[in-house]
Amino acid sequence: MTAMNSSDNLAQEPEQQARRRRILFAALQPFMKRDALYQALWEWEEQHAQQPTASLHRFIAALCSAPPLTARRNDVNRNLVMVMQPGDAALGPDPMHEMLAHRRRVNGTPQPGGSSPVAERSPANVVLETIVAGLNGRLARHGPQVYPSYTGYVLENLSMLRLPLSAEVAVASLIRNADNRLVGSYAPESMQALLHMMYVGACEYYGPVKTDEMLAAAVSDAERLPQALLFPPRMLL
Amino acid sequence: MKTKRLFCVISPTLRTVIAIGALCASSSALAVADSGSLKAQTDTVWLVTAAALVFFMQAGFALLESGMVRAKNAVNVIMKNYVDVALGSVVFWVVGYGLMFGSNPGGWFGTDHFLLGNAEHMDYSLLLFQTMFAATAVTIASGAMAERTRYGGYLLGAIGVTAVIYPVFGSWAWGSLYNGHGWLRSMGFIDFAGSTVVHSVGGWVALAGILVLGPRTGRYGPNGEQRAIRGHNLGSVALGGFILWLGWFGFNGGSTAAADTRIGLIDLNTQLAAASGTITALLSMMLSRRPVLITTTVNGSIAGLVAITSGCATMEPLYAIVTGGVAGTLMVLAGSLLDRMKIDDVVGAVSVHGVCGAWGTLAAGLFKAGDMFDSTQVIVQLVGICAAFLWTFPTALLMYYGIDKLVGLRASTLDEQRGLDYAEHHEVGYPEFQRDALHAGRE
Repeated sequence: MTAMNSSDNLAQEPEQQARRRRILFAALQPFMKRDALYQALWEWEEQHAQQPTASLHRFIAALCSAPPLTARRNDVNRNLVMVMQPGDAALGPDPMHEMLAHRRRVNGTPQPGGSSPVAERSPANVVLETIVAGLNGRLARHGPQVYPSYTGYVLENLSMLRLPLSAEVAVASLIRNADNRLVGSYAPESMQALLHMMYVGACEYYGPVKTDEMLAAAVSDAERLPQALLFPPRMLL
Repeated sequence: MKTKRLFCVISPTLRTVIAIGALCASSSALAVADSGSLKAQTDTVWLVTAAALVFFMQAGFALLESGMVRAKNAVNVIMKNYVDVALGSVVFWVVGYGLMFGSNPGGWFGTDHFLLGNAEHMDYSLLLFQTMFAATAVTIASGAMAERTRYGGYLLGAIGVTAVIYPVFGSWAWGSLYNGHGWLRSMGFIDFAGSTVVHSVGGWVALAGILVLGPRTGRYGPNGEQRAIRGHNLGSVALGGFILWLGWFGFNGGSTAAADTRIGLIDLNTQLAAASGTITALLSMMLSRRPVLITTTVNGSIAGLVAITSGCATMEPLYAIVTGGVAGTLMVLAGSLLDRMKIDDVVGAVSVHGVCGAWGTLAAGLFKAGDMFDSTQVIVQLVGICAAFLWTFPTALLMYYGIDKLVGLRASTLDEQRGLDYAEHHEVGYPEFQRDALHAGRE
């Protein structure tokens, strides 16, 4: 109740937004691994933070509808209330700094200010490239005659992903096999949507059974990469 | 004195036999004295046993349907089967039984016996037995709609079928148990155990559901080619078929609602029709040079069972074989036709239950013992078959369309990709064996 009222009264000033991040961080920390926690906080930041009414509870409810929190919704809500009771002083610092660091680590975005040396390739990009190459290579070998139709389908629908133009061009190059390296940084949701679109296209042109087999094999290829430790390929499924 | 001496010299075994004989004789005498009560007790025992057999058919449906889908959707199919029985049982008690069997002065639906309580003992037995029938009618759609239906949407549909669609048609053909007759029953419509009332209704509901849903992603290619999506566990399909076959002895035999001597013929006809359905399904596949699939073979037996359900009490065994045999072939032909029309019925429910149910109902009129090929009876049967379709199909179509618009019936393609086990239930059917194929983005 306290949390509900507080979240209702929260205005959209930066300090209030930071306060809500601190509350969420403290409330979720005992239940989630660090990477998953930062990912959840980003989801909050990008999709819920601007919504004024009871969004905190809706977010918690949505978060608890999926593993690993499915059976712990009550605990999370209880903890949410508990972290809010002692007042702001008891909350930790704003986790935004760590959230940004996490996003850079996942997407391989260079450090702000450009002070970092040549950035390592993003693990997420490498994983996606491997899955795309593994799936497309198998599809091309299995049915070369329908492969152009399949890639045509994917390219035609790329705009549905609403990527920035440069990113769309990069993804199109990857799909056309013109470039086997994906440049730029992409949100995991965009990568997931791309793979899903490829899956649907492959189902249409190759059938769902073959597509399932080939996607599983491509994911298995990616899971053997060292980058898979930093960015699990199944996050894209 | 002499008798006493004689009793002492006979062997202890013989004495036991005599004592048992005396006991039986006294029991018989008691039974004769209270034959009405004993008859009611025996009827109740048979009806409840038959209800348990029909309930066991749910296990058959669950195994058969889950075996026919991909591993990533197995839990979802079983959950649908499991939960629609639970929901259906309560809903049928609340409203279905009253609509179907309550006093029916107008002939269109029952008007009392809702929330049944403070009733006669036999009413409870009948409610139990009929609840299992309602659950059967509902669960038929689950297999047809598998692999792309949202769980919540399906369950809402199941409630609609149990509460309204099934009982209203049932009241026309079987109502009322208390006062008045359904209009089809008044015409002399024969559907002894429900080829039409249960199976065709279930089949037409399934047809409406799959038309609203559309086919599974990639089931048909861009040029119309059909792509088989094989089930993941054919052993489970066969076991499901056996369980359904066994349960059908209760389904048909129990429809006497009494422990009487007709059950022998009814269950013999049931057995023969299932056997001939299997054989003709096999022959149909062989003659059309198609692979002899276990799924089609099992469906052949079920087609025979569905078809004989209507006329099992009024047919000679020879015609039970004919009825089942025609059903086996019809099932194969109807399945192919649906596929050609790009209607994606995962388990063949429409051809097995809808089409063969209609055929069985017609056969009950054609082959009625002592009155074969009576044109009046055949016309009545045709009226019943058409009425079932004209009531069930549009109503179910409207219902599923409404569910799709209001809460969503079709699962997203992302959920199809991940599998409904994970997407809907956050678990997988075979965690030890699905490590490589598991589409689970979230840990």
